[in-house]
Amino acid sequence: MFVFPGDFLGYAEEYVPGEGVYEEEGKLYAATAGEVVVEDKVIKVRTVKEIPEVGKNDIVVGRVVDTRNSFAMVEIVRKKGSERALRHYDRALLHVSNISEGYMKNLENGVRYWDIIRARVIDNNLRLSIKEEDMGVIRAICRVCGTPLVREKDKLKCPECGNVERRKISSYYGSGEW
Amino acid sequence: MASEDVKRLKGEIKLIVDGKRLDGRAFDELRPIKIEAGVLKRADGSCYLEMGKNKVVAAVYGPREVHPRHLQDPIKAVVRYRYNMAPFSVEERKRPGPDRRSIEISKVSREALEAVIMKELFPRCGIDVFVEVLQADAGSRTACLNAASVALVDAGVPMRGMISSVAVAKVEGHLVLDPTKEEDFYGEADIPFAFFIRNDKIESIALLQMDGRVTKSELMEALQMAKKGALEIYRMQKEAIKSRYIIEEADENE
Repeated sequence: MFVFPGDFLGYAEEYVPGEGVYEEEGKLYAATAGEVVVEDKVIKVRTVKEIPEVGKNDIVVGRVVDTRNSFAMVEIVRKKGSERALRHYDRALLHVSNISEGYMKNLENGVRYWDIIRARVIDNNLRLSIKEEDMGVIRAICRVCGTPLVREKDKLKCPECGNVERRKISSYYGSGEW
Repeated sequence: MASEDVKRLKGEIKLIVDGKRLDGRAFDELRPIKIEAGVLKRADGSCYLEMGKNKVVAAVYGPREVHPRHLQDPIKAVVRYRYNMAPFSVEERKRPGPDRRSIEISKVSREALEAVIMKELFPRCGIDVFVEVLQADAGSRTACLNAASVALVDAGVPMRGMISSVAVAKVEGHLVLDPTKEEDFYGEADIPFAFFIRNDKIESIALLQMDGRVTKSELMEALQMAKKGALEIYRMQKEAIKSRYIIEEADENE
């Protein structure tokens, strides 16, 4: 059944309100337009256009906006599979231990300030991991001159000044995709 | 225009002839309405709407991060609404940019939408609604609100219900629904309404403005007329969303 915001769906005693449903004075109404789905007493509305929310196991893209000794803060911009700004925005945490499979002592060997990374969310508190092969830095700039770095095997090289930097490079590096 | 005023005062221009309006409508009849949802690619939700000669397009962005940061509300979303008229939307070129009238319309329209948007679900976020009038006739604010409401549904923004808006005017002693420009100019009163509609029923009034002179009983009668018109518009709004959705469904199956 297709419903519109405000359509009466049933009474609070009948169902548990799920996504896209709200309760008022014991009655359940649709909050968004879409198809009604009932599963195990939970009633939801599958919306026409979803507002993305990041949760565990989602793939996200973001920029490193702050680095500390053992962790980096990442501003997430998009979730994979969605073109739209996120429902909630916050800085995500990327700890050194989640950068590579091996031991990494210095965070700066993995990510640096202003890098754009592709990462996986590993819990619901916005903690990230880039251990996987296709996760990691997808764009970085030279810390000497600011030029975008070019991948050269497992290193990144600056085409302007020849500076070579180390990163946890994603297999998507430089492809423009993620 | 001035000579027309004189003519009207002399009674040479009649707005109501043989119980019919200038455009042949009955007193409680709406102008032809066309609604199309999802017309803009870059917006999260959008709607193009024609209400008589009014042509408006609404775009919704968000929920998204609010800049500047001091406008953020830590417990709920902020709704921003901009009503804007294109310079070419009126007979005499309008100087671009906001003016007193459009600022006021933006404010009251925003307040109408705030009544239905579930702002508490998006702390620190902003929901931006932009409505551009491409061609103006009377009642462009009601057209804009109807378009904004459809665009919000198209954007998937959770809402308690929908907003439908229509104006009632008093012309030569008669109340008329959805006035045209002539009726608005030369009539005695103009009363735009917007209603919060839930489950095909009018729950409450979300916007009520009035200028001109009406009696108490006329106002009550105008309200009844507006309610009837709004429910008709509500049906068309739903139809617009439905048709967009069904087209998308077909695309997915290909």
